[in-house]
Amino acid sequence: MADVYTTRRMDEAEEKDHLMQLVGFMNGREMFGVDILMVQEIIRGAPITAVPNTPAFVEGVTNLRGNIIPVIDLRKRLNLPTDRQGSGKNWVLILDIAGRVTGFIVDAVTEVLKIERNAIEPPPDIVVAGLESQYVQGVCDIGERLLILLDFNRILLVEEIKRLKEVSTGGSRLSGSAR
Amino acid sequence: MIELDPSLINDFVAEAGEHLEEMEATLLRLAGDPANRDLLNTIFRPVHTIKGASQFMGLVRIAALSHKLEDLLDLLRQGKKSSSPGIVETLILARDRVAMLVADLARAQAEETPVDDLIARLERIIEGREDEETAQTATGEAIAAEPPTESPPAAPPGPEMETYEEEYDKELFAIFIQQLGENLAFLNAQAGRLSTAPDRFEVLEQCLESIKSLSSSANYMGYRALALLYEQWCDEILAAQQAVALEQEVSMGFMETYVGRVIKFFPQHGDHLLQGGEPLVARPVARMPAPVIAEGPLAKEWREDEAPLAPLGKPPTSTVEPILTQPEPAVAGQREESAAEPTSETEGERQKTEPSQDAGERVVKKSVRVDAHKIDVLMNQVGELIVDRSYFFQLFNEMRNLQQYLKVNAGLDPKDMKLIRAFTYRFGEAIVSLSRTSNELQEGVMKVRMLPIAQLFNRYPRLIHDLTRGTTKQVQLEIRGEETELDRMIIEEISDPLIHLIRNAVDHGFEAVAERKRVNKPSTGTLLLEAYHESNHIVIEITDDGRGMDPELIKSKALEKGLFSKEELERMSARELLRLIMTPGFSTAAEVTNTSGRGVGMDVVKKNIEKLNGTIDIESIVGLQTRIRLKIPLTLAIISALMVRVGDNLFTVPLANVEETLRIFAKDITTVEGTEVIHLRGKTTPIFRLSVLFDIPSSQQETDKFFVVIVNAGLRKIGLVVDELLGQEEVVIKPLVDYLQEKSGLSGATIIGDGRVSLILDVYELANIAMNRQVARYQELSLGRKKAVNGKPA
Repeated sequence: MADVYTTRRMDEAEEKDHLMQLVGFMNGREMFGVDILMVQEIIRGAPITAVPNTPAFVEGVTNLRGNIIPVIDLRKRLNLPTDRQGSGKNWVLILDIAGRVTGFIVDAVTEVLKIERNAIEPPPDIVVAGLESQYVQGVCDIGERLLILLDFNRILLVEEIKRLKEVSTGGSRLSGSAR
Repeated sequence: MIELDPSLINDFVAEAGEHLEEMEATLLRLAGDPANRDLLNTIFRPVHTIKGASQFMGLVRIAALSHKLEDLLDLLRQGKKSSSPGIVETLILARDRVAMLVADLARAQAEETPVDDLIARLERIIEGREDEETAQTATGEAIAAEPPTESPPAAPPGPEMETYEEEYDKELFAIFIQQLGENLAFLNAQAGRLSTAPDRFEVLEQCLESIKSLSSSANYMGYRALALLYEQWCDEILAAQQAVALEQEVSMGFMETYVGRVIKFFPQHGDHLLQGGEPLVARPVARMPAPVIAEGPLAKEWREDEAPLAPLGKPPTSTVEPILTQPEPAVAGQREESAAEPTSETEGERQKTEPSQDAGERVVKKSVRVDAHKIDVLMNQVGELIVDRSYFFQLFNEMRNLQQYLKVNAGLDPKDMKLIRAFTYRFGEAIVSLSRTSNELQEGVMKVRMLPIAQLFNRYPRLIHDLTRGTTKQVQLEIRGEETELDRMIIEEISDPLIHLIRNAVDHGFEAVAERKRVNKPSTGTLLLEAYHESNHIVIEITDDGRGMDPELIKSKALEKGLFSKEELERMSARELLRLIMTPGFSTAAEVTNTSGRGVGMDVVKKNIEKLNGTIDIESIVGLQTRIRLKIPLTLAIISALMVRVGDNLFTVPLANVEETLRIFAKDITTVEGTEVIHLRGKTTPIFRLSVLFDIPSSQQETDKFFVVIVNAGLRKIGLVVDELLGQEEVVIKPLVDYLQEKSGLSGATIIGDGRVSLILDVYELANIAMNRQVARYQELSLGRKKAVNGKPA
């Protein structure tokens, strides 16, 4: 990686002020990032139990050392095209989103990046990589490509999930009978 | 005011709570046997402990009151004074007052409820001046708190004055009177303070609040004149407030006048009303007898205690000094008994009687107070261990398969095989040992969470006492199996349902004394509360020997309310009919009281019990008895469950809900109005395919054979069709995140042996979902038909 954004020469104290550590991950060909402070851990190949009558992007639940946590398929949540084959050895990013520990399935976790805070730009009005801009916190040019910072608070909007769930359980039959 | 250490207060509140509970139980027994010395001795101990601890804490009122209480008890147990029902009633009142003060502490960290009136009364009893009054109280009349000369200085009621007596609804009236008493006592106390209080505006504001609540209850009772009086009172206070705000001179005398005028409305309860407080008129009386009792050493102590501003660091009596050297009040409270008491004739005797009891108590009470949360965390860890254990079991099975595989496929020679076999054997041994230890650990931790149900049962004598007071019913409570233990959480959860069931029994079950005599029953009814263990459950039975429940009456009531059709009701067995009383909106009570008869209640009871995975059963013999039987699992954290498979998914069905499992053939299934049903012992039972309900692929190969789990979802039974039954397991319940659990038909999840997650079915919710879908589908169907009909003529 280019030294433009991994300025290791800066001393520690200065780094803390200007730099943000991100966990980078891939979904399809796009590269995404999430603040490392939100990441509790990254697991791989955890068995996921499907939960019936939930929105399609809720993959299910998994056992994280005795705690049962929900797992969301990030691609489905973001409406990105899915061509991932099987869910054999999937990567699951375990994030702590305002106290709600939730797993997100991603294609691959790449590396920990350091970027300068002022290098982050607000989300452009145009659609980035087929993403609705409401889920994008900002973008950052990291040399050869664009890194998209996701706003996980928006992605895990519990009220929205509950609403979607009603549609998938009760709502569908009501709309069916209305027609 | 003395600054109190909040952590000490919490300890004190917790400890006092236990002592008060003990006192209440004993006092109620004493009510039936006033002269029993053993009981008096038993009560003495908690009173003494509370006194010691409150003195240590500088809680002036509790200390003063418990001190007087102790004096009286001491006289009683030494036989220097004979106990009577009236005295016992006063003791109960005093206990309640201490409880109120403790509640004040828990809420506001300070003592608020006044005590002077009760102290004065206790003094009068000690001096033997209340004998004539006790005769009056023994008749069950309201207890006079003040001698007749103390009537409030208000003008005598004019001839046009309305008065209010106990009316159509005794319970409601009792509650009204209680509320009135509490508020009046408060107002009275404030009236006394007003002339000197620095924060008069605030005090008036509080009075206003209090009057407003009185006013609303007067409206509720329909007491127009009283409500009008309150209105005037409020106006006066507002005027006074204004004056205070403008720093004008204002007389607060009107407050006392109004208190007097309110009391005039309730001639029967007049004196009783103020005993909840510190009557202005009683205050001089509280001091007046002082010269008389000042001769005794105890009286001296109390007068010093009474000085409300005695600082913590300067305890009023020598009794307290040794306590101060104790590090903790909890410890101090218990050890204080052995601390040096001021030597006097009475004290000397007291010490003689105590040591043997103390020794006994110390053996029993070797307990540690632990934060409940810590135990829950521990329980969680044990749950993990149970999961790990089943993982080991699974590994062991794999090892055996591996051994088989090596033997057959790898062609190892017997010497090598022997090594492997030996290892497998030892592995198995280790697992058995692990299993034994973890079982014991699990049981041990569960036991830590377990408390004897006596904790709950001991509250009920008081409940019965209160419920039957002032009615024409006599009920005695019999308790069996109070030592039976169950989970702390469950105790909390079943407290309200049990209260409701007891109220029901008293309100509707028992006949009035006259009626009982007519049908040749003993005039006092017996309510039996019994608890016992049955395998992994606790059973609680509430049996009354009252009039029983008539299935025919229930039938006509259900028909009248339109809850069921006549045909449906005709088909029901007597048992099913009895269960109808738990239908929402059902109530057979002819009259509605404030606690029962409104048709909410039994269904709530049922819901609460079912939430605990418990069941409720009703048996009744008309004219003889009603028995309600609650069966609840001992713990919430670990349940026995049936594991089932649908496609690739493993589901967990709580065994408490499983009635039976069946294997049926396609020909057994018929379709009625779009729903598949089977005939089970002459009854139509709807069956639902879990794969359809949950929209998951089923792996069912043979389409003519099905596994059905018949589950009990409250009033109805439904069958769930699954691919395979996997057997029974003990599982640890874990919660699911809210947005996955709500309305999903799932009540949680559990971790199975290989670390995977299995979802636990909530059969009630599942039955609801299934039924709703069925209704929706049926509507759709009839809508379609209608369309077809409408379409034809066009």
